Amino acid sequence: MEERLNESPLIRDDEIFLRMNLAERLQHILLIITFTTLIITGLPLLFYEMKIFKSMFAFEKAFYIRGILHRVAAVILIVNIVWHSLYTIFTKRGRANFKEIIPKFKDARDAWEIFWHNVGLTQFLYKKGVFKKFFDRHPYWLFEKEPEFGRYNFIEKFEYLAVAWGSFIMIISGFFMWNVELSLRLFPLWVHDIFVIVHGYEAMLAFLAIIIWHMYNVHLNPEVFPMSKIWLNGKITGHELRTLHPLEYRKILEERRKAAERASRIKSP
Amino acid sequence: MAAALIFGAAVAGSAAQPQKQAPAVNASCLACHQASSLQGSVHSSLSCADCHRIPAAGATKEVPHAPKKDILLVDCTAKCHGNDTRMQPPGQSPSSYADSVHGKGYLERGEMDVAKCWDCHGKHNIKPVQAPDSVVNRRNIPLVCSRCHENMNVVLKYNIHAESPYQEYMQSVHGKTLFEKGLVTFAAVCTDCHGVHNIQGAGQIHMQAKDPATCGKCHVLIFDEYKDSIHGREALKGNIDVPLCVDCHGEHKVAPVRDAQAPTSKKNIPDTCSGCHARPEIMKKYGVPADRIQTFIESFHGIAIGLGDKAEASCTDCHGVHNIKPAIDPISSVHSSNLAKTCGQPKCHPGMSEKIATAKIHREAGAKRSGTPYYINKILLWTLLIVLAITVIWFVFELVHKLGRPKTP
Repeated sequence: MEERLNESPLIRDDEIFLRMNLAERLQHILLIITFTTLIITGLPLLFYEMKIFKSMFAFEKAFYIRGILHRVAAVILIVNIVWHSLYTIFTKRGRANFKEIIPKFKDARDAWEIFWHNVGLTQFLYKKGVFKKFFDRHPYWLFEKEPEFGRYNFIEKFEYLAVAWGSFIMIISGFFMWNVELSLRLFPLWVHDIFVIVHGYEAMLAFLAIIIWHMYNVHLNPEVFPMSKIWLNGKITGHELRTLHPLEYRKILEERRKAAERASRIKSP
Repeated sequence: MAAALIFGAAVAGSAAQPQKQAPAVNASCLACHQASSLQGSVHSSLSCADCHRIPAAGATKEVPHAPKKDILLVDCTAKCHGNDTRMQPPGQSPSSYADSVHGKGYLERGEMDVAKCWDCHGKHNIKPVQAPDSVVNRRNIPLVCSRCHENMNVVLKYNIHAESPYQEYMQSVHGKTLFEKGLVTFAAVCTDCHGVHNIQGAGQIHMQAKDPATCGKCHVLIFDEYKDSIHGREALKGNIDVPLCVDCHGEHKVAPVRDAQAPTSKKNIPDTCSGCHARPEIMKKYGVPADRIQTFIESFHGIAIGLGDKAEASCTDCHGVHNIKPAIDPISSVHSSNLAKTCGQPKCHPGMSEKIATAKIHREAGAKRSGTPYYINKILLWTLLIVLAITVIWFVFELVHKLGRPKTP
């Protein structure tokens, strides 16, 4: 593994890079709004015995309005997904992002390494002199260094895939729950029951993924606490790029170094 | 007034009095008992001695006469009203008082605070029932009964199960019809359900006020429907396990379905049906599964109803109301051949597939017998728990590690 990155003269720490462009930010904001609405209007049906949800439906038309809101949010979410898909297919930046976000074997290894790095058990044993010879021969098992991430780390990739997979499941099952007459014309009742069950569990999984994984990453994580502002202004500094996405940093550095070399070669042949 | 005259004349006739002329003996009584005049009452032609067992005319000279405790109480049925069936049919005539809950208390146990003839009808100022100012006129009946039945001392002493029937009645659909709409001949008053002289206590298994036929006197078409239902057929056989009208609608407080507080309102229907259908001992007896209410509560319809929705189906929307029939009955709305029509009601699922006929409606995804949904449910539950466990373990280490480390340069 390479040495820890220091500030390079080619990329200043206060240089601004674009991490999310306007279209990506708008897609993200639309996702926030629709996701929150869907959760708030959907979860009460799963936990219908909880007092807090019962009190949500205190007024006469509340349940009816819940249904309308849920469906409207679902349609907006679908439109958002269509927009995002077209954006990903038909823009250069979209295609480049998609290439970056495809999970690779490295992501599984990153997860494994960072977990044991965080636990720190092997380093603790090494310090205490346990299995010293083994660790001297195989320093990998000490997990001393954190793995380096590219444009998207494995958590971000996992979240993206979770949203993609989850949306697919929710849209299919939700469509048939919305059109129960059609569903029962096509399938027996027990298949429709599976739609309902899957819709409920996928909702809970998505809720947990967002509440725990994403909220941790962009708010609670000490590196960005109290909030990463990328989703608002789309900007990331050279410093953040260097510490959070070192592989992308190295890539940009390499490009600039080559460009500089070319320039100097042209200047002094 | 004409009715009063006829009634007065009839009473006078039966007492063998030629004309409605106040007898001479009354004058000497009235000298002291001015308030006890029979003038203007249905008994205006009677002599005091017809009811009060005072000594013959000569004794009245001794004034004052013997103290009250030596004078026996009046018995209206002894001389005149014994076989009086002009006002009520034989079962309800004054002579049936002896078998009523009031009569037994007074005549058998000597209780003085139960209703006796004059507690309801008045003493000397008795008016014909049809007269608006008669205390036992239809419009005044609830108030008359409330004089004892709203009295907590009486309620507690006799362990009466209705604690404030008058207050409840006033808010009921019957009470409002009487007090707000003023439909005197139309609104049910206490005596229409409980009987008149023959009122029975709530302990009676087949008391009149609980008998569906009593409600059927007015609600004729509903009663016809009910008679043909599984509940009604059994009820008419005298089976008291089945719901009678009052078991679902309530008693004194009977309210329309649109009233949110009514036991028959959309939201309360499952709760009302659960009174029997969630009780294994009753359900076992009739071979009906006892999980019908629970499976409904957990279904989409049930969740929506539980959260206050009014558009979703409750028990009665599928099974019918007064005409409920078992699912094996081909004309039942929940018979498999009728399910597509029942589910496909215009306001519910128009165009419901005929395939629904083979489906089991009250089902439990969490039960093993549901097959595939059960396993899917289990797999997803474990997936969720494992993901949650990994997440928690992961972030505990991550957070501890990151907080314990010096800030990145």
